[in-house]
Order: sequence, then structure tokens, then C-alpha cells
Amino acid sequence: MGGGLAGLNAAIGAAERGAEVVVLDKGRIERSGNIAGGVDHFMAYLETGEPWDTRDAYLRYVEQEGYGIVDVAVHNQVFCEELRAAIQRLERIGSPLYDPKTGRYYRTASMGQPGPYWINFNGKHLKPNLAKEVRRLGCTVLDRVMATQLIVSDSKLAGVVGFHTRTGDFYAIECKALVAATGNTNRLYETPTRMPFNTWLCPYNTGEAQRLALEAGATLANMEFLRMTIVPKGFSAPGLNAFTGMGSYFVNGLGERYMFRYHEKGEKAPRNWLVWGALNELRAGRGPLFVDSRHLSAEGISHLKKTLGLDKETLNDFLMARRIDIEREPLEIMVSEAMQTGPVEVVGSGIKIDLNCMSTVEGLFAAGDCADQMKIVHMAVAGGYCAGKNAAHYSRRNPFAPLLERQVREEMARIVAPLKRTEGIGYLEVEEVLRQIMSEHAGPYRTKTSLTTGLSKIRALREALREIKARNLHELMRAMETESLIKVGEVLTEAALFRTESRFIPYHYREDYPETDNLHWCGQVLVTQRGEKIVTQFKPILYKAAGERT
Amino acid sequence: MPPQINDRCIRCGNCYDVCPGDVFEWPDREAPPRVLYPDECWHCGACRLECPEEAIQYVFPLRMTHV
Repeated sequence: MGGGLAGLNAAIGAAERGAEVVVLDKGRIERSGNIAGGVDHFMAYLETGEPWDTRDAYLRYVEQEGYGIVDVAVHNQVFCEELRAAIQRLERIGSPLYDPKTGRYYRTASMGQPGPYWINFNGKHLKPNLAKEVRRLGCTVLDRVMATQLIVSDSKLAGVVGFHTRTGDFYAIECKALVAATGNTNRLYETPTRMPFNTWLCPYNTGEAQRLALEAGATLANMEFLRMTIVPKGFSAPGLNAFTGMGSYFVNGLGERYMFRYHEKGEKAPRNWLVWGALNELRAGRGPLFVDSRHLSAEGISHLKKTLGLDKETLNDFLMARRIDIEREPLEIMVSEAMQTGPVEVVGSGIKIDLNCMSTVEGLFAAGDCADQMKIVHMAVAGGYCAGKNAAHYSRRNPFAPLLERQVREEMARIVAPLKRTEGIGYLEVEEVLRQIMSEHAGPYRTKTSLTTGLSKIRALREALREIKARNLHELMRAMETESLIKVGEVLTEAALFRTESRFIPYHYREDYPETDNLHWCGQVLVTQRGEKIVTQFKPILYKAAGERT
Repeated sequence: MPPQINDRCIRCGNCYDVCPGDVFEWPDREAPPRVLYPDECWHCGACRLECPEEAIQYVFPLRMTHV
């Protein structure tokens, strides 16, 4: 379920083991998900002999960056054990991580890394190349099919129901195992440009897996954390890594390089500190803020410009439209919209997975940005494959669980309801209200009062779903997305209320509990649903080298 | 209106096929696809990458270029 980077690697992992694989995607797998238009970086250690370039050093970085919520054993199993094969797979399908001309890796460091873990590469055709391999392996690809419900019987996954967003056909698929891989949740918070689809990550990723898994009985984790980043003024586009990796400076309206006020690594600090620095400078009235690259070498500038276009296909067009030449002048920046996704590069947020990528529901696996221990490109490629491999292994040992026709019929009736309404509310109006509630009550500055106020408004807004209408199949798809957004918003707010400390500031900053409290809160907030009620509980995580983060 | 299709279009429908946000419609196969939901464009570039004729240009709204 989901044919993005994680989903396609899962399909390959399962198909290579002889499983019969069906891929569902709301878009078309050649160009869908977060890297639809390409990507430029992949995080890895390469064991070149440098002290920072080993699995142990990398896992120390993972523990330090994700301290409190990262499960290092799961990370090691789903990423490190799969890394070598992942790198070889990318080469085999025609999107190698090295420069094809020189055969060398172009590596840069940022985000608090102890060495240059980012590999810059040309991932412009990574999605079509993976899609070609998925089709070559004989997987059945159902493009433009949106999943709307997971069916569970006898506590085991039995199947998935959905509809084709262009023909209106229904699909009910029996499966022994399912890999949920629909990414993180966007369109949840107001954007700085007031354009809801002008988002950093893919605005068509709206938390379907998180909602469907939760309703099927699975546990979610790390859901309290939102994420924001630094983007060019006007365009919520990726590219920050490229700037900070090359050594560009952040400067405020007074011309000061401000980041060292907030973190000893300056612009090379972890992303949450870059956002925290920018928010504080703006709050203090020292805006507007800029990223300055004028001091870079000619080679550095040239590499930077090339990389920006690889990470966001249209970013260089945008800079031209704004008449900005980063070689000659600083580029104005802004803080992006917030979203639901793991707070750091090495730990995710969403469906809780075990060492086999399986959720707490038998037969339901998760991978990529919708899993609680996976994140971004490197883990989608390595961890996605791991999930597919394990799902195939599980399906060989287990029979089909019965898919009850009654459940399928009920879901079909629920799906078409918005199309049948002649009067009602459009999805956009409901979403706009949700975004305002989330931004005002569950944003980067949170308190018990703001969160409880937000929760009661979100629950009241749920009633509006009964009146949502769709004039065509496209709007029906959006209306189904709105339902997931409301559920994710409720879960995020509930989990944020439960965690009475601050962590990864400002991704979970409780103004009433501003300190990080490792004595009581080193662990995950787990979320389940009983009936309509969201239930939260705490699960401690113990680290071998216990102690305060430095 | 984000992607604009110019007269180089050969009506192959690639943009309509690949758009991850389903923002195009293509009711008349003799004519180019049209952008039905411009406000829902992510500016990801997928349509332009898959266009065989360089028939797609991005035009950014004022809210992006002038804020």
C-alpha cells in the first residue's frame, strides 16, 4: 500500500522471494510520493577506514540524534543489515550513488553528523527506474487506486479495500501480508504562503497508513513530534541540505551569522536547531533571514546549483522567476509549514514496527516515513526492501485470513457517500479549519491548555465529515484524505498532551514543560484506538550508554 | 497557473498519466490536457520530466515569487 520509494523497494524485496505482489498507489508509481520529481542525497557510512565511517560510529550518531525515541536495535536490523544490498540495488537499476563519470562518491556533512554521511547523487530518475524493475519482476501494479480501509479478521490482516480515483471501480484485495508505505502526513498545518499544497514534502501524502493501521488495531508511536525546516522564501522546496552541506551561512536582518547563538555546530547543527534559531531570530525582530553562499568557491557554487535542481526539479526555475542568483546575493529564507513525520533524519513517526518491520497487527508491516523507526531516502530504500522480504517470508508460513464480504460492502457504501450528497461541505473548507486548529493549538509552541482546546475542536470537526460532499472522483479522493488528516491531527495532539516534557525543540516544545526530562521521558508515547477513543501510554527505552545528551 | 502546456504538445498524455496530484484533466484526446486543479500543484516537475517535447513550462503564482 503506497508505491513511493519504500513501497517499491518492498515490492522488489517480496517479488524477488517469489511472492505474488500487488502494488497500490494513488498516483502512478513512475512519479509518485516524496521523490516524484527526483532526489539528491542518501545517508550512509561506507567503511572507508575513517573512524567516523563505520557501522558503530554511525549507530552512535543515530542514538545521539534520536535519543529517547530511537530503537537502535531496530535501526541496525532494518537499515545497517540492508545497506550494502541497497547501494548495490540502486546501481543495478541504473541510479548509482556514485558519479557515473568518475566512479566516486560526492560526500558532504550537515545535521550534526560526525563525518560526511550525505552522498550527493543524481536521483532524478530513481522512481522510474525502480518502477521499471517492479514491473519487470511481474508485480501487479494498480496505479490510481486509493486504499481506504484495512480488513482484519481473527486479529490477523485479511485484506485491503479501495477505489480507482479515475474509473470509480472498487477493489477488495485478499492478502496474507501487507506493507503499509504511504509516507508522512502533510497538509496538516497552515503554510507560510497560504497555499496548502505548497509544502516541503509531498502534499498528496496525507497519513492514510497511519489512520488505516490505527483503525485496524495497530499501535502508533512518536506521533507527538511535528517537523519544520528552512526553505526559500515563497517556495516550500527541499534544498537546505545542499546549502548547509556546502558551507553556506545563515544571516539575519542585521547581517549577523546567528546560528552559533543556538548551537556550537552553527549551520551544521541538527535541523531542529536551525528551525529553532530562525524562529527565535524572527520572534526577536531580527528578520528577514537569508542564506548566504557568496563566499563559496566557483566549484562549490556550481555543485550547489546542480544539486538544488536534483532535489527539487523546479527550484532553479523558481530562483530565476524571483531573479535571484545565489552566487551574487543572499537568498531570503523562511520557516516551512509543520508536518507529521519523524523529528530527526534517523528516526520516524507512525506505525510501530519490530525487528521484522511488522506492526502490532499480525501480517501488517510498515516501511518508510509512515513507520516509527524509519526515515527519509536511505531508510526507505534499505528498510522498504527489508519489510517486503519479511512480508514474503511471513506469507509463506501463514494461510489467508477470511475477508468478510459484509465488511467490504460496508466500506463500499461508506466510500461513495460523499458522491451521493447533493448538499454539504467541500473538503477544502474542512481542511482549512483543521489547519487553523492545528497551527493555533498544536504547533511549535504548545501548552496543556492549547492542546486540550485543540482536541475538543478537532473532535467537533469530525462531525463535519458526515456532511462532506464530492462532485467527482478527484474530490472523493481528497475527501478521504481529509478524513485521514483529521485522525492524524487528533492522534498528534493527544500524544503531545501526554508527553509532559520538551524534546527535539521546537518539534515538541511544551511551554509549560520546557526542559527535556530524560529521567521520566526517555521512551516512546504509544497510541492505540479503542472504539472511537485514542489511548496513550508510555514505553521506556533503555540505552546502553545511558546519560544526558551532549 | 503552475504548469503551462504550449503548442509543442503532441497529445501523448504523459503529464496526465504521471501527475502525482491528479491536477490535470484530459477530456478531449485531440487537444492537450488541461490543468483543472492549479491550486493543488506541488511544483514537483514530474510532468515536465516526462514530457517528450519540452511542451511544459512552470509559471509560479505571485504568492510565491513576490512575497
